[in-house]
Amino acid sequence: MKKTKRTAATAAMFATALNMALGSVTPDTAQLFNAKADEPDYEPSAEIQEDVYGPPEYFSTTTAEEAYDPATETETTMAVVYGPPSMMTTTYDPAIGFEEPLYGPPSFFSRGDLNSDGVTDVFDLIRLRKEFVESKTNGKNYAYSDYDVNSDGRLSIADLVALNRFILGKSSSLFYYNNYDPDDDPMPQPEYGAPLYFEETTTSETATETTAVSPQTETTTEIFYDRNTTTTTVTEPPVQPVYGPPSAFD
Amino acid sequence: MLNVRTKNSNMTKLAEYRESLKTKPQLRNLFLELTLRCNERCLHCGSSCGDVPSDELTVEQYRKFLTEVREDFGVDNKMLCITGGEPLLRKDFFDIMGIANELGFNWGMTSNATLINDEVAKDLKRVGMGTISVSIDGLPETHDAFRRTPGGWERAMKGIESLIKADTFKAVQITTVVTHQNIGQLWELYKIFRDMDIDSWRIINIDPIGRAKLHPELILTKEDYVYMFEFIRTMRIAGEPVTYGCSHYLGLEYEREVRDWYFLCTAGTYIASIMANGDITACLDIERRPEFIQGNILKDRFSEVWNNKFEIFRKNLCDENEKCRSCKEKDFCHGDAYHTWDFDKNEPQVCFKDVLF
Repeated sequence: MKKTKRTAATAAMFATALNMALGSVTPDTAQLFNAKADEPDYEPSAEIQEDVYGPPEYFSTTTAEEAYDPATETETTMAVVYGPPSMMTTTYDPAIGFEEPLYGPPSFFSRGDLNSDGVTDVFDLIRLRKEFVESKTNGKNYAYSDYDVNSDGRLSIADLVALNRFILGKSSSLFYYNNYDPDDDPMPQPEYGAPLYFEETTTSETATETTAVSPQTETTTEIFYDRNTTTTTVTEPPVQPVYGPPSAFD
Repeated sequence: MLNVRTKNSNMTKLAEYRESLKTKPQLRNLFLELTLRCNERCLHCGSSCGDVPSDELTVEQYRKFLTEVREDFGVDNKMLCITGGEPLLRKDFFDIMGIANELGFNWGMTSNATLINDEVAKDLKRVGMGTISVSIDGLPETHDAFRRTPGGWERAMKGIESLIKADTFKAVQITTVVTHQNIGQLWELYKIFRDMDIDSWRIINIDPIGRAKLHPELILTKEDYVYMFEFIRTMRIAGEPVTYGCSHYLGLEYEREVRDWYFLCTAGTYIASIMANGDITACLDIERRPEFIQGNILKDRFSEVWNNKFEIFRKNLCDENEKCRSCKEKDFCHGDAYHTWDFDKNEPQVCFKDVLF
């Protein structure tokens, strides 16, 4: 499935909102990072609802959604604060996948299975998210608890992201961030400036003024974004429509 | 997860905007049901399509109609949504869409893709198709059984590959209708779609309309609904192009989080539909009752019908029901989607109160 600036912006919006809820990012610091966790200028008439069964909307003269390629993003327009955790202070082997207690019997707990239903899935994520929010006020110590899924000694956004990625199959270990390498990570990461939001005026989602494209009169070339690279290619005008070709259904 | 106060404020704005739409509707999407015939017989089909008789308009009738629409509304910010049945069953499909393209309309279609190969994909490009949504309703066995088409999954996936290979369409989307039977397959489907070059994956729940009314065992339970919406939200948090559809008010928790817009049923305000026989209505998923047919393009000019009729769709359904009238969400919900409103009992068949909020 394609990653676009829009999907990256959605992910960034969620991450920023969560950080703001936790106080890690305030509205002021969010502005410094140019983060858009909110919709300050919501305009109902500009919304495009994708119909329940219809095809995706598009208007021909607007540009296609730009593919998102973190390697080419140079602007640090967004710093989602869920970076690598602090240094480990206990000894354990990430390859094991769960932490052996310093003393006591080995744990049979499947790390990430917070509701003990035998599987690690979205319901555990829901549980973790809830605990995460409550942790700001309940005074509990979560260091190396079940909720500290990446065992970095605290309950933070890194645990949410780690569990999220683990559930999605994007990482095989919940200790991902202990061996974090941005080059391996296709997702937008803070150090590499995930795009904040796509430019509303240039995406296919905005109901901008469009001009009917009549293939019979068009003389301009079109520019398409190559899905596999970040360069643009200039193409010739589209082939004149031919209607009444041989039917495929005779 | 997103700021609830902001959502509340925006939805209040939207509620006011919706009131203005009732008196000043804006045509944006025009659905053309080219045929009721279909080479599949999906259990959930809202239009009960299949190997059925289908009064269909001719190419010239479409030409006249589309020319009038262009004269009266222009083509800017308008999109034709071609649907059926299976539109590609029409032998004159490319004639019709060639006319639409020549007139300058943007258009897209829904299809089961079983009739699409590399050549057909090229023909679709030639007649200007912009976007397409293809239905995949589960893993192969489930999909084939649900659509009662042996080998359907295989052919649909090949059709999608042909569309992707053409590399020219603005969006190739997969739509999955989630039922109580296939909800456990979402993660497996994700693993398959993740590796395909599609633009988005739309996940919608089965609604009790059309043929689906005969299969109550497919309707989602409360737990299924929560699971489905959490699944979609998890995907979006991870930056995947997954979205819920336009139906149903989801409450402050999930609104804006499982799709990029707030709930607004636009049947009759943004959307109009032309049935296979030329009848004019709002949304093709709405029950086909005589009172919902606003005219016919063979004897009425569409713009006159759009401007002077459609009152039945430009009101708040929640005003028709006592429980809805007293609900504090009614300004945001406005009675929920038209296509799941029970017009006999005057109540919503689908309401997520006590499920999601």
